[in-house]
Amino acid sequence: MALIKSAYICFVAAAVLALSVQSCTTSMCTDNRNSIPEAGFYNVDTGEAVNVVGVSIGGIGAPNDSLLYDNQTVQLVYLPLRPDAEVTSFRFHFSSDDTTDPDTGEVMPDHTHDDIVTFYYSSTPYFEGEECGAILHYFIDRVDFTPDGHIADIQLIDPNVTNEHKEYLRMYFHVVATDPGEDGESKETLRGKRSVAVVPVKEGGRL
Amino acid sequence: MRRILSAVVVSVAVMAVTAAMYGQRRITPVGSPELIDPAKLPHLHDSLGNVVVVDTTALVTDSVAAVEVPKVSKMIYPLIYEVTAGVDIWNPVMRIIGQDYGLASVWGELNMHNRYFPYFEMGMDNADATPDNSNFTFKSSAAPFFKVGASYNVFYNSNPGYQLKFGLRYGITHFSYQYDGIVIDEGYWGQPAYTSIGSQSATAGYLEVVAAVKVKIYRGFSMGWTLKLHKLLHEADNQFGEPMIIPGYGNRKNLFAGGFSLMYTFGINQLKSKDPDPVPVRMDEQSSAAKR
Repeated sequence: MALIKSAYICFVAAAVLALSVQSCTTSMCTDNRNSIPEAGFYNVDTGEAVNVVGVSIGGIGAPNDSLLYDNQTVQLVYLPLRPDAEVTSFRFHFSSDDTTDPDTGEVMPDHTHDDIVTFYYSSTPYFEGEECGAILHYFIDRVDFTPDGHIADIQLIDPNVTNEHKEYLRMYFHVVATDPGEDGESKETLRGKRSVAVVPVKEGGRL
Repeated sequence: MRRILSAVVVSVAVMAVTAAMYGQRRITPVGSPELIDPAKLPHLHDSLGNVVVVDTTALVTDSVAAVEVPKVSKMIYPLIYEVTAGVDIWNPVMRIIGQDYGLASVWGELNMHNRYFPYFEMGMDNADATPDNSNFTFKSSAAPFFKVGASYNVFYNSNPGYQLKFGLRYGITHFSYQYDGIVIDEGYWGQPAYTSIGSQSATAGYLEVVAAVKVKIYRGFSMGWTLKLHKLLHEADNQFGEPMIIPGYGNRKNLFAGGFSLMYTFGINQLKSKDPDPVPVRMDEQSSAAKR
């Protein structure tokens, strides 16, 4: 009787053991699987966050000249660095530079005044976890940008780029005047080359 | 005269016995006697409709006095009773069916009163793991680990061939590891990076809460299952990230680990019995038998 009781206890224990070992884990990947610098847009005069209107961003050398942002209004952008290199450049184009053909009404992109932003960095592999895998951490040495362009300044807040969500750099733009918008809201608009059209960031969020 | 004297002696004896019984009954209640509240007594009715009052207090008092509770010794088995040595073959078996880490370990424990079991374990583990849909391969060469702890047998007064134990163990290991074949492709640039993390060394300590079952097979041979709930207590920080698998601990993401051991038990102070599978008598019974 004692043997049967013991065997029953062992069977139950083995079943619980097998199920537990197979099913109980403590981790899932809820983080980014890549380390990508996030850049916020600001008014160089006021220091306030602004939504830049009609911005297109693409990596120089990207396959098929694919764009990260295509004529969008944004305050925060993700700028993925090349994992296989130590230098990455991005082209910033602003719709405010485009011209419209008076005869056909067709919008003609003008890339002669695009801004080029270049990151110089080093990378370190890092094991984030079994679910998230291995990623690269970057250390940004410096950031260059086109002088006398739309971008007035770039402030590097944290040169150590990980997969953590946060603003790693701030890009300050020339914004020279404010006009009332069509919807009655004020809009800071372009007053010549090398300035950008922006929409002030409303309290509580970005566009 | 002699008859009269005999009658007097018998009468005195009967009175003495009666007085003794009466006196014993008066000192039976436990604690100070309480006043009986008639309203709280159960009232029953007999077949004629008469009310019958039942004094349950007296019944309880009498029943307590009537039952003699034998004293049970807490420790049936000797202090130093047995030593058990075992080999944990869980990881080798699991490795055959697809687990990608673990080698084997040996352990020993001392049976104290068949109740307390100081425990020591040492083993070797290695790993070569490439999880599904991952971008890396984790490798660690064979490294030792050590565990110390103690268990408590729930059935300490039962047959020592069958045990259900719960215990705590602390494990520590020092080992090296590396990540090979890392592929980083964030999707936009179309050109992945290939890299690796070279050999890193680490020291880790962990705690295990253990539930174990031991079943006797034949003579001194037994087998047993172990379920471990474990938690890392300390490990050194590393700029390249943590090791995925730790010797003696297993995969760091798992809350539980298992064990299956084959073991042999050496008797030190075995109780004398002709029964090959004895359930020993209690120590108080042994002592009384020795007096006889």
